[in-house]
Amino acid sequence: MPKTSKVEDKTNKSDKHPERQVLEIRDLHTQFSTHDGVVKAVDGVSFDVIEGKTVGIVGESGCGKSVLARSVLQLIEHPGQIVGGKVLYRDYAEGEEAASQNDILALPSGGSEIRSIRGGHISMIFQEPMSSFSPVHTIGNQMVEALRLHKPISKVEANEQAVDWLHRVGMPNPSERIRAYPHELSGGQLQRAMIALALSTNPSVLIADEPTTGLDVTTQAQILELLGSLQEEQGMAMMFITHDLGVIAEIADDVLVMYLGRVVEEASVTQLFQSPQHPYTKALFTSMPGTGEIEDNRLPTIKGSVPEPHSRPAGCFFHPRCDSFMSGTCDIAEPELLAVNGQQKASCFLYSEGE
Amino acid sequence: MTVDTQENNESRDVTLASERQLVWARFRRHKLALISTVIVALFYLVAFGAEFVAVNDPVETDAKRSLMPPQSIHLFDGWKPAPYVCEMVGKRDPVSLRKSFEADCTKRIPVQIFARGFEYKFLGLLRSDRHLIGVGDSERSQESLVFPLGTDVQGRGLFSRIVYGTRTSLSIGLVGVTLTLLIGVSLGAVSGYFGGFIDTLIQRSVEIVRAIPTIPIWLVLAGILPRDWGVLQIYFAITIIISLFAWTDLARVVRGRFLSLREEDFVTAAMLSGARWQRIVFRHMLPSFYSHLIAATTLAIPSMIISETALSFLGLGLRSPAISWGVLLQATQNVHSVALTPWLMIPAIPVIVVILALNFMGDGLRDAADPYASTS
Amino acid sequence: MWVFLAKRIGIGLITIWALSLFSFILIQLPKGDYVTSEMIALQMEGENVTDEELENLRIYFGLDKPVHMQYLSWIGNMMRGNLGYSYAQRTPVNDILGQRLLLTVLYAAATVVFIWVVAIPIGILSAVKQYSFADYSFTTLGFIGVAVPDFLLALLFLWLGFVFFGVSMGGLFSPEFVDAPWNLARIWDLTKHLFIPIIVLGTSGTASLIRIVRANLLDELHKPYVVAARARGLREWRLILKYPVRLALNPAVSLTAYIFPFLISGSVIVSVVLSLPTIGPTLLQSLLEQDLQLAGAIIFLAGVMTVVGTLISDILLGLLDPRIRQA
Repeated sequence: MPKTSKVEDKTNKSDKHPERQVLEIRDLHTQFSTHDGVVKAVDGVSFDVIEGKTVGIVGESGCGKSVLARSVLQLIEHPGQIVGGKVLYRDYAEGEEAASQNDILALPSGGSEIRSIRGGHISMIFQEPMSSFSPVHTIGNQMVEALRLHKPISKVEANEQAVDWLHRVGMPNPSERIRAYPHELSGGQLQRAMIALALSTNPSVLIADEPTTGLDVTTQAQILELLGSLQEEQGMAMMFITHDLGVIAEIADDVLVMYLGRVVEEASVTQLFQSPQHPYTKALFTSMPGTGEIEDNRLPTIKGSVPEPHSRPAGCFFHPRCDSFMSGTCDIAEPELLAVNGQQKASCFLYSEGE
Repeated sequence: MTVDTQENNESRDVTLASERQLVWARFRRHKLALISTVIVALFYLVAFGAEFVAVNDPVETDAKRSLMPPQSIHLFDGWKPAPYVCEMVGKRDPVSLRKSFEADCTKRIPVQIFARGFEYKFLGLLRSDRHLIGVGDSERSQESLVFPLGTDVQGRGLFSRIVYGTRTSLSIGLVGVTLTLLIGVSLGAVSGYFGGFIDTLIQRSVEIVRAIPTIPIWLVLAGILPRDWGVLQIYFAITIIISLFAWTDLARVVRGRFLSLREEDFVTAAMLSGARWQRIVFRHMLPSFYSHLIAATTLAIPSMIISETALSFLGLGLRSPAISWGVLLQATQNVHSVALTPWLMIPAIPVIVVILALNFMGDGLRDAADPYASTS
Repeated sequence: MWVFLAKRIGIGLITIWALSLFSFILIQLPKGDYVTSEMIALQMEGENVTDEELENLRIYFGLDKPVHMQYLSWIGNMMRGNLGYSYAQRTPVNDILGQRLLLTVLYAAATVVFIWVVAIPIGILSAVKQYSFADYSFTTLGFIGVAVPDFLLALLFLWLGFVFFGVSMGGLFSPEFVDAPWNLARIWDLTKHLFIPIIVLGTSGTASLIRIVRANLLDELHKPYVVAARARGLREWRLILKYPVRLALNPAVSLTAYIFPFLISGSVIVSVVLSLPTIGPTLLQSLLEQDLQLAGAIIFLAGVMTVVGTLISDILLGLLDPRIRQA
């Protein structure tokens, strides 16, 4: 697999600095009340986001990864609700080390504190760049708005900085494109503009929610490369959400694998790609083209399909689809996320049995 | 390299429901639409059995009981369930010479259900004199009558006239909407199925028809109808005039549906297997959006009813001796007289109730047919 | 924008042409021409008219020319503001309509403004506070507003005004101002009198606009660009007003173009009920008296007003939406 060399590069690089947590997400619970019952979209997720590093969150559609990303900024809309947990944010720009820790979720919704964090300290980019810009406002209008919300600068200055940023993200002809409407730009260009918008306020965390989905492969690679180099320049932390293990290999340092609102495996990207532990992660890898052993030219798939989110199976949520299903254990008790291999954690009875 | 899973239906308990069942299940959730449907059904029932529901002959005039106010029906005589009304006694004010009525409850006229009244031929076939309510036989011989909603200038029972008007106004709605449906569906289908030049042509005509202020044109068309035409001729002429401008919405709905259906596999399959276009349109495409069509049709009826009522109200639609809600409302054109005889406004109530009910019903149907469509 | 506008103007012109044809046919409908009926009238009075005199009269009115030439000269006159001659009233149509035209335009335009001013804030409020008490009450009111026909509403206002206040509403001027020249006092008097007619005519339009704004805004409120704007820290109300409302207004503006014909239509009936000095009662009167020359002119004018009103709304829409501007 060509990706592995890249993975090793990244791990080597990130060993140099002491690790400083920017975000600590603790036991986050977000649920949706629907006609068919309560959907626990995020069900007790905890992890850290570390300065200068990228945590990748991977899972099938509907596993709660986007809801997780939005919960961090209190962006959950009705009928969704954050029902528990903490998102602790530490701003190192203000002071050193033990800079004051703020629980973002405890901030009054819509208040000035949460608004200064949104877009100022923590920026977000989305999938479908085309629909993430208002179609009736120019790119520049929306960039200037973001800049002036978080920096005390004039319109002219904001405009200059916006052009500057468009230039940095490789937008051709930035001083002209800034006056363009979204429908006049391509998907790749729009995503570049989105990144410029998100980073122009110098945030310490960037949340990227499937930013490359829907773009063609070449553009996808360019955007990933751009994000990587900008992260190196700015030193920001990144939370990268995707359903694509290839993208994870490209950009992440640490990886969370999510299934039905829970983290089933947590590992560094090298560990994950070299020795996936959880049967679900393994299944993801075997269903990926180009890895694993392929018999009779057919791509293996995970048997069954993701259960309805409001009626998750008892015991381990994955047991009906699991190849290593142990009757009497997996369908009764819920496994915990435990260390299995050094830093690597998995929630599976295969590993807790031996204790 | 995306994470993808394959559907595996064996492991899932899937029950299949037909489109009709699904629509019905969604429709049932709209309580308001359900209630409205019952109300609409009741109104059409009244329209169907107008002769039976009517209490008095709607065309029998009597100057002696001109402009009599509504008589309230008392359900109990003491504790005894014996419905009756009080006799109305006419008095003439010696100064203003204006005639007024007062209820004299010493003379009680008993009211019963399935009483005998004026003779009629139900649907032109069955001869009968039974009515839903009426006075007992002995009182009838004394010419005592009941007027639940009072009488008009010529002493005709308003309740019975509203009941007969229901038949006219609601049937104009139905006949008109059928015409509209024919025009709208054919033009919409042709436009959406063939596309290209024909589509452009029809779309432009739709835009032009929509840009025309309809009421003046209706007025003019209704105004130039020959004065010597009979009730039935006027009735159909008015219906056609109203339908002439009402088809554009339906045509748009049908066209939109056809445009999207044209891309569907089952239509392509039918085309590839060499079916004629008539067959594809009527056997394959139309049935797949019956529920939309029913919803759009239901929503088109209210404007038909309003149009008829408005035209007749202005004296350019149906005219006496025809009875419709609009004709009845003509009596309210003079505010000064209505102030003294407010019950003449009562025909406005069924108009509003039916229009509201049809709107709610249509909205419910539309939501049920297409839960993801926006209301625009 | 230009292509879009050219298209709209083209459709407007075709509409006017269709209406002019309709009006012209209408005018031609009565059996015999004006000169014949004039001759009969004169003969009834005992006058003797020679054939030569009649022929001269025909030439004077252009009735000797073929029909298509008559049509052309008729439409030419229309364009130049000469609305023709009411043979029934023996008065030029211009004199009969007089300021009625102006008042019709004023009435319709004021109603459009009313609809906008009332419906848009309510629509926004209903959508943002979805399922709130206010939302439910406005939705209910909206349904009733759509369901009650204009003329019934007008009747209701008339009746209520008469029964409870003893005033007979109707008309657009107090008696002392009916024939007064235009001045501030007269305009104020008109404004006071316009209030009820505007509510009557505007109710159903307001109700449907509320529904459209609400539905569109509900669609827009959860679009990714709204979440994106919220994620960059925008204040909630500013965000709603700047982005989704802007987008939800586009269909609302195109609706205005669509309701303009209804307003002109509805104003005819409402004016009749409330006896407003607009073209409505004149049209009804002319039809009841079979004065088709007058009716034809009014139909044509109503059509022109509608087309112009629609066009103005279209231009507004073009200015509001860059996607249309560039189309």
